[in-house]
Amino acid sequence: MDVLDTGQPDVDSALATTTVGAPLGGAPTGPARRHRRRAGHLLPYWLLLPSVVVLVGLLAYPLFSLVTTSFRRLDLRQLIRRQTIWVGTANYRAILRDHEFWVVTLRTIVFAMVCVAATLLAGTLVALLMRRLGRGMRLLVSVGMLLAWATPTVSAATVFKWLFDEQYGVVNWLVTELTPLDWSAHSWFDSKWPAFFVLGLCVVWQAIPFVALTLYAGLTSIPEEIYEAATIDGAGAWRQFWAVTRPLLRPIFLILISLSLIWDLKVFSQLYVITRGGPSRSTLLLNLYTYNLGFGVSRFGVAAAAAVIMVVITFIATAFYIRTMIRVGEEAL
Amino acid sequence: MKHRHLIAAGIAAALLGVSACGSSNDAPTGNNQAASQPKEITIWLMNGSAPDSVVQAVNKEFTAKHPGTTPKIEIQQWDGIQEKTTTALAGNTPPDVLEIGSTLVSKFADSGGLADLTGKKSDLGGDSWLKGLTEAGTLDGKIYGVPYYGGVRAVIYRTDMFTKAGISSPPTDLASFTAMLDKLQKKFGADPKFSALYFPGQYWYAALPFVWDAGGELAVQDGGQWKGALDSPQAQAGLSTLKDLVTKYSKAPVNGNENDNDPATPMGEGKAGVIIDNGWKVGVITKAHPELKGKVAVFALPGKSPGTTAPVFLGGSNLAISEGSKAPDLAYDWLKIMAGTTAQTQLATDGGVIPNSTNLLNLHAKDPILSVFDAAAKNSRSTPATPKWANVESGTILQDMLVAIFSGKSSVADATKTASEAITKTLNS
Repeated sequence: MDVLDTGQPDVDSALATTTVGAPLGGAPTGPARRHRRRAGHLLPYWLLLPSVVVLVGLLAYPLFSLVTTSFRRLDLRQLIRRQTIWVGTANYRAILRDHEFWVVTLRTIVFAMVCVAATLLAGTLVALLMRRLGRGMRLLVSVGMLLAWATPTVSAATVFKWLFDEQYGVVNWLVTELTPLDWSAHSWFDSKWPAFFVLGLCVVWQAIPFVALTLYAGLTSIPEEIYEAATIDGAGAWRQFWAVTRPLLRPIFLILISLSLIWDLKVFSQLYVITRGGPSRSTLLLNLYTYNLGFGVSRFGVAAAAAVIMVVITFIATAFYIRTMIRVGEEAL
Repeated sequence: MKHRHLIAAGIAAALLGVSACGSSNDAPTGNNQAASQPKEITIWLMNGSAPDSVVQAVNKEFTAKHPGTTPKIEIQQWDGIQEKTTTALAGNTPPDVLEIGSTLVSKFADSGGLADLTGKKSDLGGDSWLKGLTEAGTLDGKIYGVPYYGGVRAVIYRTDMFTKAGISSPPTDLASFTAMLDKLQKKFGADPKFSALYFPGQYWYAALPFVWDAGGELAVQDGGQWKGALDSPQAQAGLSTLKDLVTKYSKAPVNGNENDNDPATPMGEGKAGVIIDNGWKVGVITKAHPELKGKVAVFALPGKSPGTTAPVFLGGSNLAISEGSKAPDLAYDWLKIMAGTTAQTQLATDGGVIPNSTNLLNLHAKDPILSVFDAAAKNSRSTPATPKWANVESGTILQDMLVAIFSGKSSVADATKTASEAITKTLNS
């Protein structure tokens, strides 16, 4: 960096004279070489351009549109007639006054935290297992996990719904066959907690592969000698994990926690397919609540306000981790 | 000089082209009309509404009249239809003709998404339209939805199972209906999956007759304000009756609905004694189980007092033209053919639905199944006539109430109170 920085002013001033002095471009070798230097200097930005365009199109514009919509009255009538009615913060006030919004928000945060904890625990265990496995089994586990990860969310959720179907589901059949219990008509979706259990299981099941494979990749970078030394010092399995693996993989853990938290806060497809918020709205989470406000009762402005609040919540929930992550990254340099 | 004008006009048109995309309401004028006649009009029909034979006949008649235009039929699923229609009507190229469930017409009409067809009523033979469907298609005295077909639910059963259970004739009141369920339960109840009455918990269409028969209402209008009325003593009594039946005789998922847990499936498999469903489900059952042909029969849901039938929900659909249609005239021609006598006769015969005109109600007279549904339709009701009603449906207020009642999570009194308050809030919001 230092070398480049000191060289920079010369190049720039030379370029300035070149462009002013010979606007039509010249044959001399000097300026041409400098031109290449300049192109090289800008090249990274040109290479960034496509992704910037994509990000602005796919992220910045929708976000902008979301925020502006949240300050408009946009019911079905305004949507179809393309009317723009600004209402200030009325939508936000309506949301914040809604008792159910707070219940749903709290429920969403708790649900996400439980799912993240379960995913991290199971993912870590799978990663540790993979380290011990032979080559063939490890390949089998990896492929299996990739398949689970690659399954489209809606398909996975539909399969889980069928697995736990009260009449035709394989889970009830297994319980009835293998245990003295008769669960041939046991319902998983008639009350809140069993419904949440199936939902959470589906979410966690599909989140494990990413966590496990990432952690496994991290584990392979830890030299075996450290564990050998730890063993000689008399450390057991738990001690080795806590004192060796955990601190060494801390950056990876932090990234995984923040990513999982973001994903689990915005669970939608699984919820829509499996319970659609039922029974009696008891498994309603923030994303579906917003969807119902928008597409259900056609109050798109209020729904947009709810979505903005959700973005803020997600940001706050993950800001801590992102900060720590950046700090860890700086320390590593 | 002429040429120069044309060129200037051409350049102006090219410059305006981009912005013109946004405003599509400019009616084509003069010679342009023939040139800009669309090659295609899009028609949304609901899954299961019209048999292929009817649609093809209508399309054939349409293309004979308009050789340059192909009617493109897109079949839609009922599940999530409100969201889909909303998105489509708000878009730049909405479908030209839409089938809309009768209870949803006023919502989309109110939003300005549907074309006003009031002036076309006599041209369409509107004087003989079914009353319930006409009301459903009307908002503030203007017609937006042309009656397409009607449907009511009745009790469907299997004659072979009734014979085995020793039931000789259909029940004539609620008490004998319960006695009939007892007999079925006694005969087939050894199978833990057998339901004498298969009733998925969220099936609110089938719950309404019990509310209405007991004298209850969904909502009542009082001085311009709507008020949820499910917490009235009458409505509570009706729902208590239903709760007793469901908890005693139904093994259907309490949190299930009639789409995911189609009552026709257990009926075909012999796991259901009776179901409450539409006429066309008879065909669904015999198609999946050809050996049951001729063994599936129906009777109207009996009422509390002997000899009466319970008022049933008049379902069905209306046909509408989107306000944003690029070819409203062509759309109207297609709609007129589908709503006309020929297509309606075929729809009633091939599709087994109730046709849109009272003149055609004798078509089913000789059919032992369809005539029952037609008779039941005479004692039919609809949902409250307000554009906001659709939000009660999409807010799953009735479904939530029924699940709370059947699962025992809430008492009938508490659940109906919650639902009534939610309905009041939704209808007046």
